[in-house]
Amino acid sequence: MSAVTKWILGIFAAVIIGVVVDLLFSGSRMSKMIRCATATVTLVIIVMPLPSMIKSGFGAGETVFEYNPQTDDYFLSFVTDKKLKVLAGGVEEMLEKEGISGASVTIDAETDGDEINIVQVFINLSNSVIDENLQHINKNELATDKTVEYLGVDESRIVVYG
Amino acid sequence: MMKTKIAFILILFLSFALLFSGTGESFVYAEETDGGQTQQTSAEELIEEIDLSGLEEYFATLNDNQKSLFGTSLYDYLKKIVNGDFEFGYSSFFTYMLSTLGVSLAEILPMLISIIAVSVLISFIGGMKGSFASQSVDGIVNFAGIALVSAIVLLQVFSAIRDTSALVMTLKTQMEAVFPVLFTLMTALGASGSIAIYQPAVAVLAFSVTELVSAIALPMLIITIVFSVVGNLSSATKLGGMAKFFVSAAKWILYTSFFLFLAFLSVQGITAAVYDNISVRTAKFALSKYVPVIGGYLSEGFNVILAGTVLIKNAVGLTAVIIMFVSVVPVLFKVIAVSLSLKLAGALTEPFEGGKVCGLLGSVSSSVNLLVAVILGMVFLYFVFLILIIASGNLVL
Repeated sequence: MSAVTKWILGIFAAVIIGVVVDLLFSGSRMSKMIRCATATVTLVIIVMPLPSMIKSGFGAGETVFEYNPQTDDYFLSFVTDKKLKVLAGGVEEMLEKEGISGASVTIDAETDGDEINIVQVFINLSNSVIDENLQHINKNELATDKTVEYLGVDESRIVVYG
Repeated sequence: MMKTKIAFILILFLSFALLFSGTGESFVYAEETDGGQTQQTSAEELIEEIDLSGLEEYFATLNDNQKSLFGTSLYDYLKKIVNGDFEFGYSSFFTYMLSTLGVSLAEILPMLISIIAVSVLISFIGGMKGSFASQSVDGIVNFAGIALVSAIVLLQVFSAIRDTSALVMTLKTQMEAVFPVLFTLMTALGASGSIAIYQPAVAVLAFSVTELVSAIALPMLIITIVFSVVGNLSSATKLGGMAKFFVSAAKWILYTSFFLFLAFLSVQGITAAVYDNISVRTAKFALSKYVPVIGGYLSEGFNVILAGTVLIKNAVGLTAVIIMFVSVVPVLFKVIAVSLSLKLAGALTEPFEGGKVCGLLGSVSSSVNLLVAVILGMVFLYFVFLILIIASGNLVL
């Protein structure tokens, strides 16, 4: 039985006993004293638990700062992969505009919250076709230079093969 | 009571505004363009990957009546919203509300009849006693009658308090299921500013506010009701003043806490939304620091992902609002029915008894109104929170 329930039952018990005694002694000289005693006892029962309640306090503060809703890391990595595929697609489109069509790009990245940091860019030129006007140019170098310019990453992070 | 009526009307208005919104540039439905199929595919693809197990677990605890409003499983319902096939069943919702109201009225009818019967009996016996009985007997009969009425009233009122306490825990469970999903989606959008603000606010709402209600407001209400009953039981112990004090204290604590939390949330939420709309647009165009490309394949590709994420976020938020209302309506109607029936009982017994029973019913009814304020306050806070999150990140599209 909770403390509140016990307290409420105590109040009711005091009042009912007081009323019954008052009814038994109603009209007598003692009735005023009995009423006064009943009121005092009821008041004491009401006030009794307050000091211990104030001492113990209300423990809501600690749990607030422990609460940390967990995000779905699997979903976040899925979305990041999709964004990286879009970015890779952007690089492929850029290379096509620069005269190298059919290149296949893959990007490896690390995420820090919602920020994406590119670790490595892999450009597969095995199935690519270079524009006629650019036949004299080294397509690996062209792809690397354009990707460096496009993504703003260091040349060392770009791997061109095929 | 006036303030609770205003809060109730405001919530109803905002709910209908939310449900009717979605014309023109809807933030819920996918636009019907050439890229519409790609957009829908992307959103469906994303919805398959997100973990909704917490929300599904809660959804499974709803009763058949509540589940029938959705018509399908939670996943299918979200997909319908994302694909633009969502149609809110107004008629089924109103049917649900009416059936809930009917159940509440059926529950309190026996109480009403019992109270009237006891009052009539007290009046009848009081009239009959004549010279056969002394004042003591009259006192005993009155005391027995009031004690019986008190027991009947307390049973109903404590049942309403228990349901309210259970509802507060239910809302807390819903928050714990919904907010991780919404925060995940907001992180995917790049709305880091909003998350930094909303995360502690969720903790305050889910823990401190619910603790305030269950550990302070509801016990104070119980104390108030006990004092009202005890004060009417015995003429020797007058506790009307104490009852009024506790009700006023509970009201002040609740209203002040709700107002402060709401004010803080609204100001911070608007600031966060503006900050994130800028940062998400920047991220869309610049991928934080890499790609200074505006327009073209890249930003269109990003738009598809962001649009899909926003659609799912709004769908989850809208579903959470509907689940909240479906959980709250039965308890709210029950509490309102109890409060009104106590007033009605007091009005009907006045010609017969006209004294302590009337006073008892009137004071308990006023105390029960605090339960309505508690429910509406919690619902309003949760509702505003969901609206702010739904609104966050929508302007990036």
